[in-house]
Amino acid sequence: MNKIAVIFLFLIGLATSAYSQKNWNLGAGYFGQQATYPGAVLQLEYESFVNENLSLPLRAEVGFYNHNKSHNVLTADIQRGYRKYFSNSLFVEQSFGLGVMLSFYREKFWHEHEDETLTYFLNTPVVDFMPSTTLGLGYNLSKDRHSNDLLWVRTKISWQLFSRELSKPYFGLMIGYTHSF
Amino acid sequence: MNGKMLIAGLLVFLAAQSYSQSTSLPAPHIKVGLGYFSEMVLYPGLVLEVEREKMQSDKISLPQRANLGFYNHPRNHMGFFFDIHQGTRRYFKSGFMLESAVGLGALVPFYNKDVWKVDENGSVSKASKFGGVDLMPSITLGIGFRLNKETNSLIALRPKIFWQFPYNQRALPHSAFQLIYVHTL
Repeated sequence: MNKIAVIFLFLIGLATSAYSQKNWNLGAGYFGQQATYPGAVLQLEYESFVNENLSLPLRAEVGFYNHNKSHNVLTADIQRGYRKYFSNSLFVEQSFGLGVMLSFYREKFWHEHEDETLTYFLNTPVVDFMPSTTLGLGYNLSKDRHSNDLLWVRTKISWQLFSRELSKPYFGLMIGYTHSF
Repeated sequence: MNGKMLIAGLLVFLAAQSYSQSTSLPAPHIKVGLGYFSEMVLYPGLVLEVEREKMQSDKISLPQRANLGFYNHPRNHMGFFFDIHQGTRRYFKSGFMLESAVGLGALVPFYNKDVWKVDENGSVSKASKFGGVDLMPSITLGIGFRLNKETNSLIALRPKIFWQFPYNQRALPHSAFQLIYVHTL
């Protein structure tokens, strides 16, 4: 029930929608699962401003990471949140996301079902839902909101539903750059 | 490690949000609320809240909220909690509103059945029902209706996922449902 509730919550969160002045942003960065297992993310963002200091970004993100000796992961999700700019060019942001996670295991991956039967996967991607929440802190190199140049550090907490328990989220650290075009 | 990093991230985020700045935005609304809080929908409790809502436009606001409450999970525990939230809220012309928030706080469980412990020699004895103080990160989403457009007093349904950390060296997820009335002072 908890897992279904999480997906429901994230769907409602994504439904919170947009506003007037708009920027299209393109971003890229380092993604480290558990901070150290390396990967990368690419983002396309539609940022609508509520006022000079607050925007509501809608972000599509694709990424991957390589978990040593275990598996490789591809991710794709859509995130919805807000970004608050301060007068000293710093900004903070928070978003909710919902997407999919494809895991490619290098060894036999066993999955135990509720009826205690076992199945295993080998070289076939395991597809899971990936709700997430992301918190970010950054600096805007540009003084002009119409052409943002953002340096950011983001922590992304994501869940792999339904292969992994809700009590075991993944932690990702992202460092990157976003440019308005 | 995951739990500690999550908490560190939440702390940095909440601290940054409290940074003040001078803008031409209207003065924040101070609100108080009281509502029904139920863990797993069925297990009853109460929640009391104080909120500082900063309007960013006529439709968008950034509420900062402190919650104090309890719930009773029969045959398991009674939980007392205090947490703070930072989020966004959007009002629609129809009077409806949607909101989301992340939170961090403390959960204090008291077990409502006898608790036993086994020492190194294998002997069994009764233990305290006090479950300690656990950290409580949370995600809350809400849908509500604005009863008064001038003051933004509202009623809201708020599903909430919160984690009890540490619990057997992990984070135990709980789901909750809140029905609350919020009044602007």
